[in-house]
Amino acid sequence: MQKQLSHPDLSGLLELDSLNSRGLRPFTAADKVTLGRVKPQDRPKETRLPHIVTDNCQRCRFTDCVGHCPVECFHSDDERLYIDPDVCIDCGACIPACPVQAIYEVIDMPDGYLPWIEINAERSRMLPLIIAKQDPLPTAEARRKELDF
Amino acid sequence: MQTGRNAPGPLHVAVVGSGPSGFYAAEALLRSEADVRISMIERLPTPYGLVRSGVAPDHPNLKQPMIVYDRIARTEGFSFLGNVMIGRDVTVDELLATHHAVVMACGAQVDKRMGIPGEDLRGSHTATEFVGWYNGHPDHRDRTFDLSQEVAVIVGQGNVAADVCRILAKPVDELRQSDISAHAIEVLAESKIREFYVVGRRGPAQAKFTSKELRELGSVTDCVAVANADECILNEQCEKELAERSNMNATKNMELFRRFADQIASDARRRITFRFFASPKELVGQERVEKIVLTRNRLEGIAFSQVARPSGETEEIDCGLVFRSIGYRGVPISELPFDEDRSVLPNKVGRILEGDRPLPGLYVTGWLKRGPSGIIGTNRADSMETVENLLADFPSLTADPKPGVGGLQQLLEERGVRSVNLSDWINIDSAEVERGKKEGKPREKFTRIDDMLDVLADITCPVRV
Repeated sequence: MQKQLSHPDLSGLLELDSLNSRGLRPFTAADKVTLGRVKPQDRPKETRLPHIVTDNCQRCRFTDCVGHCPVECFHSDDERLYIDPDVCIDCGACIPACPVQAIYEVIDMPDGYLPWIEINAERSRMLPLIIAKQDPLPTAEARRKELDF
Repeated sequence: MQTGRNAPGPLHVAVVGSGPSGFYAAEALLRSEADVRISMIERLPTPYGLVRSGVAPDHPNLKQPMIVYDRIARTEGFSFLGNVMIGRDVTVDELLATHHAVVMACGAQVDKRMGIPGEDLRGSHTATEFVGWYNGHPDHRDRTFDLSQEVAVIVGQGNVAADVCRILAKPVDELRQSDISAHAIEVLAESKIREFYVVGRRGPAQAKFTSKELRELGSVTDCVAVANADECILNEQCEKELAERSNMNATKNMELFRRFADQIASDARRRITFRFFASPKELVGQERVEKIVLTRNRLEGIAFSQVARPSGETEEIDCGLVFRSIGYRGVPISELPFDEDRSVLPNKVGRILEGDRPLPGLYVTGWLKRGPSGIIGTNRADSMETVENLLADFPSLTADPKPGVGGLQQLLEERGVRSVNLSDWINIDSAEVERGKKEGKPREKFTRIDDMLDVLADITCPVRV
């Protein structure tokens, strides 16, 4: 992990044993609880078609997707969200939840979006998890207009 | 986190149903700042609802939410009470007498009927029966399906129809390492079905498949998917629907259907044919289904409100099997109001209503709240909404202290109900995983309630939870 990032690496929290006896609490806006996290080693080995958050999330961060995610694979920085491809189960519930169509299954992504696969994988690993819908960024409505949604 | 300081003891909530909507309601409650205790009631000894018995065995990824539910279940303040059925072992009134609030999360358990002559002929099945059968649900494990037939018609074009078709169309060897039930593998291995018709009353632009499932149906091993090119010619209103950016799924489906329509001759062993603009009119047969009569439809109305109207023409397909998958219905609960039209419990954002009046302490979530729509994750947002309203009612709910799970357990013991707790379930789960090992399967499910309970009788050293 790169040390200059302001957010701590939370990978140490992923083990069940490291949680307190009531690991699901508290639930706050800045929640870093990782109880729901699916550990990569629990996943079946099969062909993956990861989902990615792309450009349109920037300056929006509506986070409706987070409320629809059954396994908690979204991570956030100050501007946007990222999907952890090792946790995402490829169910696609987040795609229709996004008001600005920022999320794609890799097989359906527009041309030129290839770099987003690596960006999601890299960034999600070093940023905190978010597990519930939050208020959109103050710039979200302006950005939505700009994107014509 | 200090909000509970002056409150009169913990908030006891009973959640009825242990599928996704029940677990996400429990999660939202446990993550709240309120001091909450949860009693989750489930009529089977096994939890997880449709994630266990609905999600297809060849979609192991979609079963991963079980890991999330397992962790919710192990959270302090959560109690699982399996093998406890509302109406048989305990009433909603009794749950409400022992808890401050009851959240109904029992889903939509039965299939809609086609309402046509011949619907109950042998060889005519619901998707629920078939899905429950291959997934080892105790209600359905003894059903029989005559797969010696060569032609099957699947009525409905949603993801459940896709599952039914794919499980039947796939080479059985591709299922052997999944958690599909052993009895289903035996029968599927002898299947003679070569031809599938997947029929929808409206057009390709209105098919409900998510494009991911449709794509998968088009790439089954040794099976070709075809569509009729004429049926893929869209009217102006359909074109309008596809032009809408929020309707991206339909656009992707359309691309797939057109690709299927371009399919040239194939020597694949099995064939899936998508048929549109056709409604079932009658199933015909002496002893069993021999053919289905379809009414041809045309679309009327404006974009996104187009309805199928009979054109007067009919057509017939000779077939020995019919599976209907045209939606689910919730089942009325004797003590609670029921909306017959929508087959849900009448509610306002999760508060159960009697007329216009919310019934104190009674809530609903998931399919029983909004109808059978969406996928697993959709229920998370839905349950968060219900719980938000429940917690807003917190002050009025907690006026009197209630005994919670202890009071309920006492009631069940007095009645001789053998309820299944979390450590019991963990034992059943381990036994299933163990049974699956020799076949290389993630688990071999117990398909009879007695067999599940026998596991518990045999165990002398309970596991640590």
